[in-house]
Amino acid sequence: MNRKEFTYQLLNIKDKLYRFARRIVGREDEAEDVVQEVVIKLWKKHEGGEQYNNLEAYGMRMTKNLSLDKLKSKHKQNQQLETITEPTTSSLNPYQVAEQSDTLGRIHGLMQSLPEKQRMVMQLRDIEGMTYQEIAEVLDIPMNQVKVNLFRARKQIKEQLLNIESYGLSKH
Amino acid sequence: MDYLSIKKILERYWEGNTSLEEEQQLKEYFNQEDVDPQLQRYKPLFEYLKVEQTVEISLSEEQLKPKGHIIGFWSWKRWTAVAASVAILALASFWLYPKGGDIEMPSYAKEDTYSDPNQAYDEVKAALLLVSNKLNKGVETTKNELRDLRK
Repeated sequence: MNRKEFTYQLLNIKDKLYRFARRIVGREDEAEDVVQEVVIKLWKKHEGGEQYNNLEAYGMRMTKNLSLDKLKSKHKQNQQLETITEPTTSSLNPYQVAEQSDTLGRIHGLMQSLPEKQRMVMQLRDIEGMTYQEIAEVLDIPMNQVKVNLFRARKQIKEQLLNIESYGLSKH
Repeated sequence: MDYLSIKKILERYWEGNTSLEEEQQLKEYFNQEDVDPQLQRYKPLFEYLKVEQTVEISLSEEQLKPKGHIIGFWSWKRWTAVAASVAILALASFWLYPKGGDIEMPSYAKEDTYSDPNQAYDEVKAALLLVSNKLNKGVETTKNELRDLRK
């Protein structure tokens, strides 16, 4: 793969990497940081003579790992902060509250509240349209785990949608 | 697509038994205006899934390119430089010793040139210093060349 081909492929997958990172870390600026870090690592390996068989799969795996690292370190920082500051009454920040005000925002909230693995699987299947095999490779889990997580994610979303229907709308 | 077949696909979607093509059909169905009232409640989900497909990173192409030129320590460029140095050394040795190892020693190499050992020592020291200086100059040149290569 020469420099031109590499650049072309990289530009082709950048948005997909970003969407995946954003799904995991939940914030746009942090997702951008992750993608920038992934891209620089891919460049370094490319200049070092690495021949990628599947740049997309490799980049996606890297994105997943860096995003999860970012989440972990953020979680640690939050725990340290919580010991000093007063506990907040609401777990939602103003940004999230505003997000939930419209229908699509509410769906976004539902999906973000799923456990990490279910969220990642649903992103890769229902948004990116990847096969179970491809998802298993990116997430490094067996294929039946992909299916189980997808099933649970969709089930949870469905139940929440029915809840909104029967209780959520009657409040207004 | 009619209500019944969509409903069937949707049932299998919740069970996790749909193909990628069928999932695409669901997205298309729920992203048009004419959705059956009974299925209306699921519309936002598939609208959301479709919108999320089009999210793009706001960083420019330039921001995704590395600043400066990255060369890994053992990149092919460095290997080329090492190989070239070896080749130059090999060529130089052929030029210095064209007849190979079998060199006729000149007469002055076989006889003593100095009777005083101290004088001989000083001469040798001076000669070695001269060689050492030349060698250092060579190293400097190589360093400069390597620096140029990296640019």
